[in-house]
Amino acid sequence: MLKTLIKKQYMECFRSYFINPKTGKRRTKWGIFGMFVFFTVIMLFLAAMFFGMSFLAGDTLLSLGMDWLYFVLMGVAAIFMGAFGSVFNTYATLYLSKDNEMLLAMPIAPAKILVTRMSLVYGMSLMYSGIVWIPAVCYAWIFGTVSTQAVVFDIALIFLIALFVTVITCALGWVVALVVSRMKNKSFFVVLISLVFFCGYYYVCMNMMSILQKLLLNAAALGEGIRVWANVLYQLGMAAAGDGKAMAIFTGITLALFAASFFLLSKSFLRIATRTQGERKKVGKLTVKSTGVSAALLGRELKRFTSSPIYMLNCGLGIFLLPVLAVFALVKREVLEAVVGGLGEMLPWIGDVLPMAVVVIVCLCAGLNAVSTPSVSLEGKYLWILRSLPVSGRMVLSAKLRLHVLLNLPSGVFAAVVLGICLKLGAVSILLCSLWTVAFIWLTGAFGLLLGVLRPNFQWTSEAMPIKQSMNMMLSILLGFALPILAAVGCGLSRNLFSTDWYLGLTGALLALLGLSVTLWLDTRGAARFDSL
Amino acid sequence: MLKIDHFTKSYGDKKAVDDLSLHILPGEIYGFIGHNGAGKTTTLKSVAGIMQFDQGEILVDGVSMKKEPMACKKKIAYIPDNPDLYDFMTGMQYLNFVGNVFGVDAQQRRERVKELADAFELTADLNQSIGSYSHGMKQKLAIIAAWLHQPKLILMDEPFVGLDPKASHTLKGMMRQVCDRGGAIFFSTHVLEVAEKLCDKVAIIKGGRLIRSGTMEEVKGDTSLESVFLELEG
Repeated sequence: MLKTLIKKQYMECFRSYFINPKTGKRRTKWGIFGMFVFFTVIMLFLAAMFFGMSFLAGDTLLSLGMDWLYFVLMGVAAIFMGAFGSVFNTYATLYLSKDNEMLLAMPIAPAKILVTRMSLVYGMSLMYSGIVWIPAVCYAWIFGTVSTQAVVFDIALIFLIALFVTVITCALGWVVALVVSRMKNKSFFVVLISLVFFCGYYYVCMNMMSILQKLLLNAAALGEGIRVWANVLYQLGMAAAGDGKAMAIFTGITLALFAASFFLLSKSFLRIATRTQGERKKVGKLTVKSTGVSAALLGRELKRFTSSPIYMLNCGLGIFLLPVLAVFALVKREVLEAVVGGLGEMLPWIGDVLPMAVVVIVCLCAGLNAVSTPSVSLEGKYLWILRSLPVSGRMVLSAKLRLHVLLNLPSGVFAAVVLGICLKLGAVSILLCSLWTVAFIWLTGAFGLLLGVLRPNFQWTSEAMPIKQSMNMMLSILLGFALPILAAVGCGLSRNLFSTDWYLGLTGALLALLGLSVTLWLDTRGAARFDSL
Repeated sequence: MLKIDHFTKSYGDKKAVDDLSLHILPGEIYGFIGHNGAGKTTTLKSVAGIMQFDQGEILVDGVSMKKEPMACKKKIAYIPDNPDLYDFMTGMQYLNFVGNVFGVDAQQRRERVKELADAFELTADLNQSIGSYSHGMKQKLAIIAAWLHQPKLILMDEPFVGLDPKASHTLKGMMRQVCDRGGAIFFSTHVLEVAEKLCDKVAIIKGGRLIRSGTMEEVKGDTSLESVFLELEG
């Protein structure tokens, strides 16, 4: 039975690889092959990135003979990557799965359901931590001196670290579930806590080089500190370096922690998973709010967005980050000026392309906000409501696009203006940066919606599926990253032909034209397609 | 009020409903009965404009659902067999949403919500999240939302499932009131006793084809609706 349940859990997760969400039919062999090739390419790209990071740490530590410390640093990076990125995914997988009640009604022990859910968490942890750990050990095998025993241990540690990450994510997911069950404004609380995590995450990522350099300068003291204060990590490092005793200790600790976390989770799983959603409020006054159809649809979209922490965090992170970035730039204005001045001495033309730099920074952040992309799939079981009401597909899609633009525009334009002021750009350049940002937000929103209409998935059991685990999201974010980078490359190549202001004006107009084309498609064929879903 | 003319709907090669024709007049409560998978829900969903269909015509108050779906939907309300309402809204927010879509003005909305919610004893729960509602409470909210804009035609799929006896009684009274003011009700049910007592006309569908329709007296004659149904289905 357990095998069947685990198979069902993984089939659900990788459903879009085998079943076309558009038609509900099984993909062809070539289609499935293509999906896995695409997945592999992305994984290889990430692996290459972490291989480069391994070089930063390994170059010094391996040559100093401090292999174990190198493995500790990369192990921490793997745990960090695996754990913090998946807390809310774990929470949703463990406690918010739509089929919890259905499975509980069957003669299946709750512990087996928990094992099934945790197996998926383990799979995800394995993927996320492995993408850091595998390149790290490969680097050590290639450039360091390792024994056969160390190679065997390194391979075993791929699975053990994933188990360690599972323990951490399950514990954090449990804390989130516990807090959420006692909160009134739970969505915003979850977002707030997540932002604290993300700020920490981004702080570490942004300062990775300097942190790493400081650590390497104090390698001896750091090593001693880890050995005394974080012995588990010390054992991990030693085990990866080939120490049999350390391997036994780390394995024992990890297995014990996993057993303890499983025991504790199984105690509360049934209670939390079957808790009725929504809080009980006092009767209060029944407020009648009269608005037009268009505003009603927009309000509905906004409620959907603000009711889901997973939605807000995965599709709206940039909305929170952009103002923070702008204020940070304002506070660190002098440092920014010094950096630009320094760059200007090496690259005299840098001052000319600063407006493009502003656009790239702002749009890379705004590109994270794929608010419109999962919105069609999120209609899910509620689709009948819209279809039975006198609202056209065009009105619904328009509300979805408007929400995307309205949520992103203020923070995007604010960041563009503030960054422009900090970099002492002229009024025309600031205006062009802002307009480019507006066109970018519009185009990415419309494109995300287009993907949603073309490839909807209404058969999800957890909303994490359309939000986090869909090809649409991947493509949407890819476009959000690719557009500003391609624009920057184009700006560099055409530097002798156009001034940056002209370049921004021309490419911005092109983006607006593309945005208009996609919007027109949404208004006509897209709306008709939505009506027939 | 509702004219279904040679309506056909297929899923792939399988015809779910085949050449169905029905005519429902203002003031009529029309029952739609048949075994599971007979095509009742498919018909109701197509009449509600949720599902597109292959052949035939559906006219609501003389307006074509195919040609003018928006105009049609303004005249109707639909309650599904399993009302999945927005879990992320409170009951009152949902009613406001529906009221805004149908353009029900604030004063009328306030009065109707109070009257209907009091009738279904749901007033105290309207500020709660729909996610915390039981099936019966969701059903009551769906009924209130359906009645909010005073539609001419109300379509209901198994409306009595999940309702407590008092709410069922209230709903029956409300259905009759709709018809008294010139509206019409078209609903499916498996509870044949209810259909027999409540409906002016009834249609029996089997394997997607209409096998008997007419006034209750014409369909059941001197026997009970259950006997006729079992005989026809057998």
